[in-house]
Amino acid sequence: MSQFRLEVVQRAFGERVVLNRLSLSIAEGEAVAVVGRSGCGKSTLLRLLAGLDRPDAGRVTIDGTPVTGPRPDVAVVFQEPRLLPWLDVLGNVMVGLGGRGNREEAREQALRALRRVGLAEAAAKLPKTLSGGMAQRVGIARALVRRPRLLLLDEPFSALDALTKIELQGELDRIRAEDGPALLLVTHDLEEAAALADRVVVLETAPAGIVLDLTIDLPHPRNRRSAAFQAIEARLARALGGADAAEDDAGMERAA
Amino acid sequence: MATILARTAAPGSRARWHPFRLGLPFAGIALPVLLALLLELGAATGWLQSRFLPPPSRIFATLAGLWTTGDLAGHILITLWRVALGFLFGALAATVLGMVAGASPLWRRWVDPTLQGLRSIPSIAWVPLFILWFGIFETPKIVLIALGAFFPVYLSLSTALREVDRKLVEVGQVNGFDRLTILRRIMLPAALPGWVVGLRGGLALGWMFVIAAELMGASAGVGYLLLDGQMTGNAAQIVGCLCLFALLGRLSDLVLVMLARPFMTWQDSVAEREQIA
Ligand SMILES: Nc1ncnc2c1ncn2[C@@H]1O[C@H](COP(=O)(O)OP(=O)(O)OP(=O)(O)O)[C@@H](O)[C@H]1O
Ligand SMILES: [Mg+2]
Repeated sequence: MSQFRLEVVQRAFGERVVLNRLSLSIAEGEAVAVVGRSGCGKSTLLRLLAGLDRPDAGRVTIDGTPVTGPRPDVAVVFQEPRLLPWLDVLGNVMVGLGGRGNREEAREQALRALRRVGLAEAAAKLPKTLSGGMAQRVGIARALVRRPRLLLLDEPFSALDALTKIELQGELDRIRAEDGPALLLVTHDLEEAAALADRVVVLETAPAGIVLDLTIDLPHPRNRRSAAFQAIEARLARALGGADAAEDDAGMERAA
Repeated sequence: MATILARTAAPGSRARWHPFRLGLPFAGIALPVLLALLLELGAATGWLQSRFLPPPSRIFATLAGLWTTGDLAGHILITLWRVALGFLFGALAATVLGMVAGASPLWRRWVDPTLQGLRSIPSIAWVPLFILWFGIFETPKIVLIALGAFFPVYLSLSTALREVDRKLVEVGQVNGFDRLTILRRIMLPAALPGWVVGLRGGLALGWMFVIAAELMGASAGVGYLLLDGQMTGNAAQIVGCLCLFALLGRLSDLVLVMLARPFMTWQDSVAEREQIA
């Protein structure tokens, strides 16, 4: 049932143990959000699934086969846009196709992906002329063009203003409904997690383990003002606060 | 450049003309022209001894005389030819090996230290050996220039390749690029600015070594004229040759920069901004 499995016994950088006894499975088409404090190991966890990193002990599998490196059915949106500055927007999206196959077809596919994130008219622009939000959209288009089974997103909207953020969250929600990839959304934004995910996993600070694994049973797109939604957000905030010092609890609750 | 700047100064604005707003080509030669005028003035009033520092007018006359009677154009051409050929060979070899060094840890571990060792031999020290190996005609000169151009290019390209942002390389990895594609489509473009810096350094050293080569025995070339000026005690000819080197070196560097510029417009650097402004 669970196609994407992560069973980390440990991942440490030198003396510093970042992930410790953590296991996480994602089913086909399921959207899982991972929340936790800055530096708790969220990016590290995502890099394990992306095949960019390996656990010191433990295993990462997709369909039962160990992940030994990046895979064609997995796409990544990094924490920063990471566009290649010498390629225009269209060229950057075409990077998602791995540089293989028919060039004309690749162009067509890339243009379609750009249209989906509302950037078709920026196709010929160089990255240095883009705003932060536009650059992040290009990064998303580059991942979408791969038609992944598993889409990994590392705080994709954290650098954006509130309005752009909500707009892009809506886009992501739509894209998921259309393409149906499984999603691992790393974020520190509880509202974002509650709005987009079928399941939210709360990590404690490093060495990170899971303190809460909460299934959210609300229909998409979600009404952020509903009582049920706000109750979930409050619950996440408590879990996140409890994972840290108790004094943070009140502040977290107020924020939520 | 100048016209763009002229247009941006709004008509009727308070400062319609400002010396510091002059375009680059004009601004750049302002200082040499001023210096020449001062020297001319100094010579005319007798403040400067023209036997040691001849006035620009005399230098110009000497060069003009060399042009009509002494085949100055031929000397310039042969020097240019030597630099071009040596630079081409040196830069080409350095680019190939620099790529290998940037891409292969094995090379860095086993071969690079030897090259670095060779690098610390002052290139001119090779001259006796080259003459022994290649005779006294063109070959040792070209080899010497090539050697001079080699190291800056090799060093800056291999360094630039090693310093490519890991984050960009990861973009290639997660999108299914193989190692060669990552080298070709990510590392090489990212290293391009560093490579160009190396080429410019290599070209500058090429000019340095052409003089060394020509001073050590040649029957033609600007370096030969320089030596000839010394033998005949002709200060105007010596200074004229220095001016020629300044001019040729600067021009060849400019050509290199112009050739590279279209490939570097993507850079979000101060230099790129200045081009736009
Ligand atoms: N390559 C590395 N070398 C050494 N330490 C690392 C490395 N990568 C991550 N770390 C450490 O691991 C810890 C977790 O890092 P990680 O990037 O996973 O955090 P994060 O939860 O994504 O934080 P943020 O929300 O700020 O992005 C940090 O303390 C970091 O210093
Ligand atoms: Mg992170």
